[in-house]
Amino acid sequence: MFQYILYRLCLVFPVLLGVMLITFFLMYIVPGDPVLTMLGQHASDESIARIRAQLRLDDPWYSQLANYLLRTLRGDLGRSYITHIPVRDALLQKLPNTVRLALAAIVVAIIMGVTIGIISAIYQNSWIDYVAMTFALLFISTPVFWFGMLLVFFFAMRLGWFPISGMGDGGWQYLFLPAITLGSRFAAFLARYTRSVMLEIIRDDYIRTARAKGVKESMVVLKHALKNVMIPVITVIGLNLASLLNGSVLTESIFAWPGFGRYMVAAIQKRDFQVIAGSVLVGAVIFIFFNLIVDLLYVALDPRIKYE
Amino acid sequence: MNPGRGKKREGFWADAGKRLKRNKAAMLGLMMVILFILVAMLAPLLAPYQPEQIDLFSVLTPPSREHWLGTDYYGRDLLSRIIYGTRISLAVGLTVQLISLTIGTLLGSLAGYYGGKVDLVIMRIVDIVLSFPSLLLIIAIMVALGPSIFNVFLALGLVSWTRTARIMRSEFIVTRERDYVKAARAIGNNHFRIMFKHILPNCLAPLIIIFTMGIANAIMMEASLSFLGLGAQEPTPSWGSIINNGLQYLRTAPWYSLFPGLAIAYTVLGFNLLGDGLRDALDPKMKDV
Repeated sequence: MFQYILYRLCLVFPVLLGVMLITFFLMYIVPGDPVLTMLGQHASDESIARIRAQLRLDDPWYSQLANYLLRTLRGDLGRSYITHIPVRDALLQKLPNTVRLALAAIVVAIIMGVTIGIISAIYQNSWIDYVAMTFALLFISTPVFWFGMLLVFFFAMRLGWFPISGMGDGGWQYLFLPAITLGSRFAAFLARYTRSVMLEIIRDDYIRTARAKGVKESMVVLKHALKNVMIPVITVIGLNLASLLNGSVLTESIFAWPGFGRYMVAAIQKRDFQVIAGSVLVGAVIFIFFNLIVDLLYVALDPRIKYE
Repeated sequence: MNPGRGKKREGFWADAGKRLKRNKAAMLGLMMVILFILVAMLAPLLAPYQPEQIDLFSVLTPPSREHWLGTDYYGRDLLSRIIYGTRISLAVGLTVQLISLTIGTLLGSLAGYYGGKVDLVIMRIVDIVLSFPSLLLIIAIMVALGPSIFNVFLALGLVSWTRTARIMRSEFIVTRERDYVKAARAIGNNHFRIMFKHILPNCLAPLIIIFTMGIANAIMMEASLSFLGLGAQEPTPSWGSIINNGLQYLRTAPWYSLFPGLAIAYTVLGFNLLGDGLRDALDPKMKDV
């Protein structure tokens, strides 16, 4: 087990290096001159030359790369071409909002997904099961941004129950619709997976033993089976972490939620490449570390798992 | 040819076909997919208007007898745009899968067949690509290449091959030890011939499943990119960009964004139902791929 943990930790370094290389080269081949984005079309030749020198844009690629790697490792992600605010500071300010949204979505997903999955498994092949699983597949097939838009239309615009967008004073009513939007697709994955795990669990010997001892059926489900549902929860969170991050970019755009995704999408529209590069890099780093945590949690939860 | 083996393969596909036909959800998915493809092929016959036909006298009109699904900000007929949009989605699904299956099969089979250092290098590349949340990597590629539908094909193809590579690798690891592969090697076939003439045809089942599921995924991703303004550009009638354009009229013209979203959900659901059914029919072991 310790060997696996060590191996898994060492694996992070080449991956991080690869991620930095990819981000660098993508931004290196970006068409158009970033200096024109900063100074506008009517900048004088001297000021363009000065900024180019400042950003080291005339250096050969390998020296730009070395410079990029060094400053990134120091935690310097550059400054926005437009607002001149350091990308790191802006991200540190936006990320907590994204984390809040993601956590709320995970809570929504676990409550809805695990419940629906367990009920579906208990009533396997009944109409309840069919309806639940049809809805799950429907949610997986529905674009997140479109579902969010429907919620805004009905619950914010027509019924006026919730604010249309933004984070306001940070109250729960602002969080509600975005969390449902982001969480429902996740809940659908979770419901499907929980169901299949439950179906295996309720046929297991120890459940039969519990029943044979005369334990009440509700207790069998709640006490004995539910304990083993933690593994699918972690699996689904692990497998769909990318989908959660992708979804948060889209959800934040719909709801004007002041998080990491909206910050990046706004930068795309303004062609603010430094911000885009920094956000992509930070998004990937967060993703890498969460995957690491999920993998390690696995080992902790299920001692049978070893590296292949 | 080995007659015994040929018969066995035929039996496998016939059995799988029977299992698929018994699966009602999969058959529904198949019908949805066929309808989608027919609409894409017959778009000029089905669409009541040209998708780019601007009519400034009927801007943002609600669904009516003239315009069944209403019109957009330029007075273009939304039904016609959605019908022509099937062509964009179909093209995205097929092209992206062609690119990603080619890269994924090639790298996956090399890794699985040769093992050792080749395997190590290829799998680390897979790890690096997988360590990006896919949408962020695609956004970065799209920003670097510039928004256009052709670049969407390229970006999605370059990002989505990893799953194919992983599955093909494990198929090749199992298959390369089979007797018929050893026999093919013993009679002096070269590696290329063994890999692509002997092993690959036996890995067709997972490829079909990945292909179907991958189309659903590619259509969803294209819609997301176009929704963010990074995919197809005006006046291309991509479903994602129609939703994006309609968003600012959500309060006054909700039909604008409603119908293209239904079209996406319908299409993706069709491919997912079919994919689920194919997975159950072809390879019951392959869960949650």
